Parts: sequence; C-alpha cells; structure tokens
Amino acid sequence: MVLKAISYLDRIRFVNGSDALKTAFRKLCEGEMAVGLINDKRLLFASLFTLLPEIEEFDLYKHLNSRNTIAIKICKKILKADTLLTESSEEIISALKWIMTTGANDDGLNSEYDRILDGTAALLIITYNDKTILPIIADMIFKRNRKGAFVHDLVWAFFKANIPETLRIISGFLRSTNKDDIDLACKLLNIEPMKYTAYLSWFKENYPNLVFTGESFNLTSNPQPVIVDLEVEI
Amino acid sequence: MIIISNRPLDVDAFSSEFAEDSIERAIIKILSSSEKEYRYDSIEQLKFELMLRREIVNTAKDLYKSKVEFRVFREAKCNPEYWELTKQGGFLLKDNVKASDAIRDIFVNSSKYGTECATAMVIVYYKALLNIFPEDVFNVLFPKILLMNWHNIDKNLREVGVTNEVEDFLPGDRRYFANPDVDPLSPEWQGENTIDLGNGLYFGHGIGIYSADAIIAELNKNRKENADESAYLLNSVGRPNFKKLADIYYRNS
Repeated sequence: MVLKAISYLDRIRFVNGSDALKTAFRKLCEGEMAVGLINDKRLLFASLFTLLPEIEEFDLYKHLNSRNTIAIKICKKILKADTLLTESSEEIISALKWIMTTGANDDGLNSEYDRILDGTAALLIITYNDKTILPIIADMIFKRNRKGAFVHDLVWAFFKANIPETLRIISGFLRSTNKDDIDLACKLLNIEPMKYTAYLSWFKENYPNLVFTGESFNLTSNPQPVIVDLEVEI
Repeated sequence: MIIISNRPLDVDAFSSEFAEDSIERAIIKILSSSEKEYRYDSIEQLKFELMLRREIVNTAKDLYKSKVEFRVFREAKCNPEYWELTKQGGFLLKDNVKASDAIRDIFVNSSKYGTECATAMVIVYYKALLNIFPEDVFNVLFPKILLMNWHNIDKNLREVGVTNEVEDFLPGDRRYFANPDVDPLSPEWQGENTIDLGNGLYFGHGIGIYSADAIIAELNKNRKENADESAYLLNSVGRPNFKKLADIYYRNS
C-alpha cells in the first residue's frame, strides 16, 4: 500500500499502531481537525472501529458523515445493541460494502471486529442480496483458516448466496500452493482432492443442474453445498 | 422386524427383560413393528445398541439439568484444568489428562462450560460411551478428543457427524431442525441439533426439552424480517456405528 494514498489517521495506525492512533485522535479532538480527518473518504473501516470509544467520549457522532454514521449503527446492530437501520437500502449497502472492502485486510483485529465483519457479510448476502463481495469473503475464509481462526459463520454466510459462482470462487483455491487452502477448498466443495481443471470441467458440465442444499457445518462433518439434479428444468 | 443371526427375534420374550416403561422397550417396539428388517449378528449386538441408546437419552437429560451454558463458538468456555480452548471455540483435551476425567468434568463442573448445540451433542455421545465402557478402555479408545461440532470427530464416533434418511426414528437418534430463513445476524439459530428422547420429545442444547412443534416455534422466533419459510425437522438422523462400537465393547469387556 502506498502511504501517500491513505488517510492521515490510517497512516498513524499503520506506522505506529492502534494505541498511537487513539492517542493522536484524542489530541486532535482538542482542536477542530478530528471531524474532518475521521470523515476523510479514504478512511479505512478499521480506523473508525478503533476510534469508536473516542467518538463516543467526545460526542462526535452528530458531526460524522453519512458513511460513518451508518457504519457505526451497523456495528451496534451486529453487536446486539438494539439499533434500527432506518436509512435507505442504497445508503446501508454502501456502508456495508465500505466496511467489508476496506475492513477485510484487518480481519483478526479482535473478536468484536471479526464479529462485525461476519455480520456485515451475512447482511450483504442474505438481507441485501449483494453477491459482489463474495471473492473478498472467500479470501477472508481462507486467510482465517491458515491461522486456525473461526470460519464457520463466514462459510455459512458465503454459501447462503445460493449461486454457482460460490463454487467457482472456492474452486480457485484448488490451485493454491498452500496445502491448508487445498484441503479447505476440497472440504467446502465436498470433493476428493482433484485438479482445478478437472473440477472446472465438472462445474461447466453440471452448472445448469446444480441445486443448493443449505447444508452447513452445524448439521454435518461434510456439508454438501450442492447436488446435481438432472430433473431441474434448464 | 428384528432378525438375529438370520432368525426372527422372539420379541415378547426379549422385551420382558426390560422394564415396561423403559427406553429399551420403546426401541424394541419400533424396530419389531417396522417393515424394515433390522439385522444383528447376535443378541449381544442388539443389547449393546439398546444400552447405548438408553445412555444417550439419559445423558442428554443430564446435560439439560447441568449448568453448561449455550454460547456461540466465539464466546465458548471450558475448564482449563482439562481442556484447551481452541481459536475456533473448540475444546481440545489437554496432554496428560485422562479423557474420562475430562468428559466427566463437563458434568461435574458444568458451570465452567459453554458451547453451541452441535458440540453439546458430541459431548453427549462421549459421556454415554463413558457410562458404558470400562474407564481404561474408554481412555485407550479416545486418547485425543476435540469437541467442536462435527469437526475432527474420533474415528470410532465419526458416523455421528453424518446424517442419513431412515425408515424409523428411534430414541437416541440425532435429529436436526433446520431454520432456512434465520436472521442473518443470529447464525447460531440456523438450526438446532437435538437428541430424540422418545415420546415425541427432543433435547436441544440452548432450547431445552420440548416437542418438535415447540422447537420449531422457538427457531421461528429467530428468523429474518419478512421470513416466509418455517423451520422444520429434517427427515434424516445421525447415528453412531452401533455394531462397530459393540464389537469393541465385547472385545474389551
């Protein structure tokens, strides 16, 4: 990442860490710079998340732009505070996509942060039927898996998209040089280890007849995401 | 119909070995009145299945009475004296700890534990086996245990992680209530793993002991806005490989 292209607050977090960001932001709150910097359109979600206590403490909420206001409401909603999202779908989807696209790189920041990313993925896919973020979610699933972190809720949300594209995205990880990736891809696709090209051939041949089962790790050791139903009308 | 060594079982004589209201009798009644032929190599093989099913039912009731909390994986907890809490929220048996002691502790110090419904089912299976097998045999059979839904289940219990459609539903079966329209922010309500207790009752960790209709009603309370599909009970079951476990049991007892 080119540091010049990132916001001032993100730069502090990258270079000096979250605690330094919080300290710097508290100082900024004594002047008039804080609001402008937190509303920077280049800001990454992880920095907003890191500064949530300071935003609350300095009562900045009413000065935040629409993206930040809605993103904070989304965080509260996911973390179970009783929060209603009353904004338009377009505004909510835009904020959700901002959280996911700018927040995914900081996955693993802490447990609450990861919960927010999982909830954001589920809201985008299930509630708002947005499938554009599937590749980002797949990347998160495989990165978490390499670290031995919790993936089940993300996997569940991912396959709730109920479209064959999910299989094509996961099958891409059959080409990985990382054995953990290949093992997880096989598990998620419920297949024996095979070459990517072989899976792609199978996928193309059966594409019109794939039916999603809704099976998840909550039900079984080996969820079968799809079955081939030859009676499906093409 | 029950067939033992290729001969039909004298059901009345066999049933009389068990108390009138017992779980075993209820199971024998279902098996013997079924159109499916239930074949066993020996009467001992059948007796083992009845014994293990009874222990699964009783252990499920014990877990219900315990103080083991319902917690999502991220907030799971366990007694660190016996178990290591994994990053994924599973319980990994610690080195130099006897599996029997660790499984028993879940019921003794139950307030130190919290997990989801699937892991609770796996706990039920392990404890039911511990109730039956000699302790030293149990510890040899299960030197390493990871309790985390249906992941990394020991090879001797692997079959419980798979569900299959069956002709008859029996006390001790694992049944699953699916909730396809679940609230996206409550994935823990996507479905409920339960143990069939007989008499139309099911135990689901986090819900309790209820009828199928009551469990469906509870799941339906946790659906997304404008949901149009009700939760429902799947027509399939998860079962341990009773015959394999019976062989191990009789070889070691």
